[in-house]
Amino acid sequence: MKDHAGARLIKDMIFKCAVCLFAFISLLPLYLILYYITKNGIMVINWDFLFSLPRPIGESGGGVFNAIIGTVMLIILSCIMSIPCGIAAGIYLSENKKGKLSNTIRLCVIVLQGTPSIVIGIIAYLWVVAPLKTFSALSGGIALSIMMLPVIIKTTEETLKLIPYHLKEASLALGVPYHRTILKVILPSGISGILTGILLSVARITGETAPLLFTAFGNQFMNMNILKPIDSLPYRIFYYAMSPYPEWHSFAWGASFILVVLTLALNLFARGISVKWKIQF
Amino acid sequence: MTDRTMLKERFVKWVLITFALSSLLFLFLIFVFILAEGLPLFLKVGLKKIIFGFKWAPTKGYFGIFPMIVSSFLVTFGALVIGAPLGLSCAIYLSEYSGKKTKMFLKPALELLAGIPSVVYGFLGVIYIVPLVRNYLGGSGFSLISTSLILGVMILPTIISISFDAITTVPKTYREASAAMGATKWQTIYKVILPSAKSGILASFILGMGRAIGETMAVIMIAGNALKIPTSILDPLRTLTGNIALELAYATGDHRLGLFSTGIVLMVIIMALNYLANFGIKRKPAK
Repeated sequence: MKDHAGARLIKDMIFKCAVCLFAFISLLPLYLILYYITKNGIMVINWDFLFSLPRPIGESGGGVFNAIIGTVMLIILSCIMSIPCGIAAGIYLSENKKGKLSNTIRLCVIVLQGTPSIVIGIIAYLWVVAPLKTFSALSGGIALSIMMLPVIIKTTEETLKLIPYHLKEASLALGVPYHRTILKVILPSGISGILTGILLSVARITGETAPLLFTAFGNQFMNMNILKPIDSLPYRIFYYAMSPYPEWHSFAWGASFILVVLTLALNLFARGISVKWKIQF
Repeated sequence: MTDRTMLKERFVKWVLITFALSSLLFLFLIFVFILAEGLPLFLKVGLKKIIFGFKWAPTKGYFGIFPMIVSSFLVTFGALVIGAPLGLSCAIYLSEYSGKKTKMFLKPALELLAGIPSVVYGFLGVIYIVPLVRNYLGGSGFSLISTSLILGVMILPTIISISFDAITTVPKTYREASAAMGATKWQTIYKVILPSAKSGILASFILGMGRAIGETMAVIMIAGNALKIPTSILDPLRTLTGNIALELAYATGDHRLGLFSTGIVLMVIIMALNYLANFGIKRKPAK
């Protein structure tokens, strides 16, 4: 009897150790990634790297200024398209909790969320690149905005659902019209959640590369025209990483460092907002 | 209420509905466009020749994507072999063993892992994993095993967060009852908690698969993109997503249509997986 209990306890110990070990191993990549990127990337970052354009092969130096500007432009473009749509759709879903239409839309949001980015890229290619016959920043922006949409809709809906019904009732009882109730009561009380959603979705698209390969395409030069190909940080990383030149590899490290810092900052910031500005009533 | 306010209200309502419909519209248009562009090729060449065809030479009229379908499933399976045990034990650790403080620290850290762009994973894979495999296992290093390794890490956050949720929804009374019977913690986990969280855990694996199969950047950087069915774990391969990403930028005519039909196949696979996962998540654990 005693032996039996002993064996069980030993098994328990072994299992516990194994679980802890595996948990440790699965956290290891995060540290390794952050370590390597910081180690190799931070040395590359300097004034020249941040604020000058890429140089042709054979010339040393140069930077990723156009890629940074490109990424910022792509983010702005996709925000312009997806934020109004996403928030309005979220409001609609939270206002109409039941109903066939709401359920269908919810299903669509889930499917859209699961759609791989490359398929969304194909769509942007079909809608914009093929008719205009040129790669463009606009097509990249459209692809990214479709990717942002489900995240914004989902978080807006979830946030607004948490707002107590009596807030809305009180507003309506005072004779405030419905649209002003939404604008002045419901949206302000849910703003932190909505902001979190927007930041998370921006974080999601900042590092997205696959759809950009054949929509925004990449560009060696500075470009501000949204109907022309534009560079972006993830694309530049891809381009430099696949090249055989060691110097370009170091540029890829630098660009990765910027990109990772950017996405992690967005993620952390979003989490900070959702924790700190807990919706208060 | 005055007429103007009424009018405004109706206007606002319509605006909301229109925008709400946008996601529906987008999805609908995505299907319509992809099908409209890709289906004619299926009809022209034949479904069998595309899905079970072995030769991909779109400019010469061969659109077989069978090797890519197989490769996609192989890397996904490989990713699961690496990601599933790690992710599940991490979820068990977080929910059963770790203290509150560790959990507060670990959970956000894991979510950050999900936020790292895939191109960065790919870059790290090219610089560190590929040479490692080349030096110690042989081959070119651009291989099934390196791709599976990277994808396995990439799907960890998905698996961990969803199976963690599934495990924490198991009622506390189950654990107490099991402990009261004299079961050790390991017996409780193995015999009580895991079976009752089974559907959620399976769903997390399936969603992880969905993420791995739809992943593009890391795969085209590490997989080697050779057009054949890999015969060993050291062989290079090309996935469905990689095929689209590599060729769409310069493809024209039927070649382009071939890539769209690749997209259709990919979409069908992903939707099937998501449907399965949804089924698993919806089935509530017994109360």
